[in-house]
Amino acid sequence: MIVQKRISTIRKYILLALASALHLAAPASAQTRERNTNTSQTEKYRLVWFEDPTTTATFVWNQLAGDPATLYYGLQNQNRQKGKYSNRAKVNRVVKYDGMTNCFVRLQNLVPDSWYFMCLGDDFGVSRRFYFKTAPDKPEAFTFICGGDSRNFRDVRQAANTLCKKLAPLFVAFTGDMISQDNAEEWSHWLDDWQLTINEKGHLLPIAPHRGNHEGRPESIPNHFGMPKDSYAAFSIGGDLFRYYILNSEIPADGAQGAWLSDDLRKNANGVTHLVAGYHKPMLPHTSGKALGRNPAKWAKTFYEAGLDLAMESDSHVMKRTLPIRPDASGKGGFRAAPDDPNATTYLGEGCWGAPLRKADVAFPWTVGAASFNGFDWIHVTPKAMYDKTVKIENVARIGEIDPKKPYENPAGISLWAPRGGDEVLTIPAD
Amino acid sequence: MRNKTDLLSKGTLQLVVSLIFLARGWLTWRWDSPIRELIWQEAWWTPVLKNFDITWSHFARTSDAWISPTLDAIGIFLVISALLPWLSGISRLRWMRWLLLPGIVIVILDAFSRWVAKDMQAGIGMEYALQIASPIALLILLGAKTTSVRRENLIKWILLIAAASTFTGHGLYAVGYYSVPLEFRMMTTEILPLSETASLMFLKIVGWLDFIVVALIFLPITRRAALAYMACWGGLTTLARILAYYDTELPRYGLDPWLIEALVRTPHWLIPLLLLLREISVSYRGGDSNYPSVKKPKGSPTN
Repeated sequence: MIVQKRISTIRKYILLALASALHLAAPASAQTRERNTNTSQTEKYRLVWFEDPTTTATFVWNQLAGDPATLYYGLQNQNRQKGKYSNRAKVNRVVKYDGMTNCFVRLQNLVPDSWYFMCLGDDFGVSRRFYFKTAPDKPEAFTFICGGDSRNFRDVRQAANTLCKKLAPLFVAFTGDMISQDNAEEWSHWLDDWQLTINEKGHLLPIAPHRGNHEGRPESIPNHFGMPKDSYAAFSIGGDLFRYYILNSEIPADGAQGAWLSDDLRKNANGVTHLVAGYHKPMLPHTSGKALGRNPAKWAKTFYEAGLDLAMESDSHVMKRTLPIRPDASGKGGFRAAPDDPNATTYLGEGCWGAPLRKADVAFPWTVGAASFNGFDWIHVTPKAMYDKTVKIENVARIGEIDPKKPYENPAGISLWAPRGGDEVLTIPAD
Repeated sequence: MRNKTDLLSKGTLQLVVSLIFLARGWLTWRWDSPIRELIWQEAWWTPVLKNFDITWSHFARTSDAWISPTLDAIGIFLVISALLPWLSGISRLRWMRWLLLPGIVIVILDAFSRWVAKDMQAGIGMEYALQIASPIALLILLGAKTTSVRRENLIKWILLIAAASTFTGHGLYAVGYYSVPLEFRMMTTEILPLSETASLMFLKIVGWLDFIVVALIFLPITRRAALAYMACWGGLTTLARILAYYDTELPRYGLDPWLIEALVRTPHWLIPLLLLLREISVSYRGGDSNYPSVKKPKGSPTN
């Protein structure tokens, strides 16, 4: 009798707990549903960084019908109540390209290191709620992801995008060859897949886009992302902590781009703790059959003189990691390992965000490792050093989400590359 | 029997085709091939693979294991095929001309792949016309033991149209109708003391000249001058690959692949030169209408 009474009491408590949970969960899921409802005629959202990301960002979308939407934004979350946001911005530019009406809003005078909330409102309704973080202007640690070549293996591309969402970096540097054929259909698919980087709460991961050889039309990157005409730019994060160069290996590396790079490095690189560059074509591919990157190789001397710490390459559909190296005509491939030289550069790459794999059958004396798998580099930038983990794109559904308080702690299920059975984490100390 | 013009055509085409096969074969074997891009078209092949219960995921992860050796084999086959133009020129071995066909198919496939890889821009397909037309012209020429006016004229027009196509394609890139290729820009600034802007202007000018000479080769009165320009400009742009990329610090001075890239473009200057010499030779003999008969009586002077 007593036992039965106890069981019924326990059952009562369980039912009560379930009811409470349901009561709490119901409004939460309704809230999520409401937040993610899109009644506007907008889609294919991307937030782009190519100029001072502490105060500036470019938001781009495709307007499906009607006049371009207005962006409502502010530091307070107002969900989809557009009228409550403190700021609104009209489109700066509309480009009809690849069958899309790409609308660009350049957000300026943002507060550094702050969360912004926003939604779009047009004649038809309101988009889902988004939010993003501006870059810090003071030296503080952050993570970013770098990789490229997502052009012809869509499953992996989608998985990699999903994994980006789970790792929630400050931004993603995408080093080119988004698409295989530079046409409307492929861009439409790619931009749809990019939506997988946005989490269910609407967190936008800024992208720093680079042009690859498969972006055959020079205007594709500017017209899809709002980049400058020649698709090269630079920005700093954390004051003097970090400066990133988006370079274009599909136009002459010297000439106007080379002059700009040298000039920018001279003006802005002094005293910067971590200098990083990304571009598509590798100087020395780690797969046979690929010609030497004669064009980007022209940057090697500039990088060395400026003390560039890290260069991110793509194109070959393999993954590689090098020692810090410096240009040396007598060295293999024109480089020599220089681990103790503060001006030497570490090279990572070479692009496999969803591309058929090539053999990683070329190695230099200064190659730490090269292998064939789809992956990207996940980098933790701190005042003391940069740390790189090369993430394999596999079993993504089973990988957990990052704890925002520990943004570089491996989530459950993540698979990392250990070149030649060595360290999973590469350390690039601060100069 | 063949007359002098015919022999000139035969010898030139044998050399051109032999170099195309040799160089294209070497590039396919040693330096990868755009044919790979044809195989890695996800949208094309996914439904086909499905019929064989193969997923694109599996294919993309594993296909390089057979693509690379297959491309190596194709390359080596093409290198060996470089002997065929010479062997099939021997009258007893004339039947071997049919063995040129697989080589021609590979060259066409290579050009088709480049066209696909370049977002199906007509210009790139046009540029490869001379590399495709030259072996076809040789095959036609080897089809007869003796000189035939009809056959010679057919070859002449095939080559003229192919030269026009190649130069038009080149011009479309140089003037910036399509984006000016990085290679054009690099070669120009590496060889000539020109700034980036000036090099683009230079390319625009020579691009327009390409269009002008293409029009002029179809006018009998200006044909010789236009062909002479084509031979010179085609030769210079071919040579530019070596001049721009020769580097004493690179293995084999960077001549592999750039010497080979130059060799594969031999028809871009040698075919216009052949057409020019043929024009001169024909006019020396009094024009096409007075062309020697197809079959000469036995005992008559031969070439």
